[in-house]
Amino acid sequence: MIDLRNHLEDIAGPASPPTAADVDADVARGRRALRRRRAGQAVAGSAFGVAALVAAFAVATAGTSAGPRGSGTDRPAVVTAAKLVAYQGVQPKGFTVDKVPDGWFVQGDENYSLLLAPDKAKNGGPDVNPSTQPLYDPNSSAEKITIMLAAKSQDDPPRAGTPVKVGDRNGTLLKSLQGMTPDGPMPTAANGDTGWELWVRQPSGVYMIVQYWQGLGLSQDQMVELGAGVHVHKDAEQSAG
Amino acid sequence: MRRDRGSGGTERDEQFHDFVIGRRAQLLHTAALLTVGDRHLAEDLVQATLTKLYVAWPSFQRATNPDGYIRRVLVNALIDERRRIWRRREQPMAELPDRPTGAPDNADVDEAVKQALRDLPPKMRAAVLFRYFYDLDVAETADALNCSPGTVKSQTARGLDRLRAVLEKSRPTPRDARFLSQGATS
Repeated sequence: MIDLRNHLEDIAGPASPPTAADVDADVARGRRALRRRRAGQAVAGSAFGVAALVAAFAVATAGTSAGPRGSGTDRPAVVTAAKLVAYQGVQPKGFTVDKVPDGWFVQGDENYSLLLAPDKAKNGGPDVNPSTQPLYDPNSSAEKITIMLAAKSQDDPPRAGTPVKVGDRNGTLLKSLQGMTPDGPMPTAANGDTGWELWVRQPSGVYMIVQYWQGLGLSQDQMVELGAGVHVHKDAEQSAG
Repeated sequence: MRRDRGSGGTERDEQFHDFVIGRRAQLLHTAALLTVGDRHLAEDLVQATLTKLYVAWPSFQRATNPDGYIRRVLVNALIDERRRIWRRREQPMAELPDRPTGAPDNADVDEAVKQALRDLPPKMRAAVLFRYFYDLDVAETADALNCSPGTVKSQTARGLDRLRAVLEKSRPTPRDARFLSQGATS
């Protein structure tokens, strides 16, 4: 088994010391996360005051809910986004968007990615646990639309897809692979959808990617239309890799 | 002493800064193994792990076993990876290109081992790596994986069996060795 150990050594590669920029970025990320957490706790605390109102509203609208019947599960309801509308909110920095699905907002905004989520993710109430309900987690792309640049380690789309014209640029629409979990394949959406990725080559040669989570209910034309309205700015950064 | 108020340079920042300088390289090394050489994903895991540590810094500092604490956060990040932005990334070299048949060379064996590791469920992979590569004992590994010692033993044994099988299969047979020898002398 010495062979195996040698192979593992090769896979791990050398342990290089971090650069000063790496360390500063780690500190900055940590501080941002802590601020978000403290802000979230403040919101959660104030939300107790209106919890009764929220509960009353939930009861009143239960008959029209799109969620699963019998809420014995904490799994989020399937979110559907059927129409694109002009984005009216404050524009993010690294990326800006012309259109978003009706009733969606910018949940996460940093130079590495832009996260679009349905409005219901704005205020999940005091009982929401973002670690088990990723819709409410601004660090999770589950059930959302994620816009980012391809990582530095990725030059091209990973496989062939459908060539599409995205505005005046060339793009590729890829059907996402089915997600894997430690317990096996992740269940697909009810209609078998596994999600989509739109890759659009930028003038710099780097690809911009729009990842559509499974079961969002957007047509391929809508995915391309939304992608055509995404603008990559100079502050947008590629993730490491 | 400066107070930690969540803005500006704080004591937490200074301690965390020193911690990152001292531990990041080793974290990245472990993450690279856990992700089977996927550098991007390994970096992603390290960033997620460090962010969680920063947020939970007071708890981390109170931990009686800081190394175990870090391993647990790293493994959780690995398992949670499926929910993060790059959850759907292609496994590099998931589909091997056609190649001529013949005796396996080192690159073939390397790739076979990598693929076998990728095929292990994340927790089983972590169990194998912690026990076999990092020489952690069963209790330490169970703590990192948040499972029972019995599960660690069974997961490690099954994982190692799969890797051994791959290595055996990839080892040149006597016939391959003969051809290699002939090729070297012709």
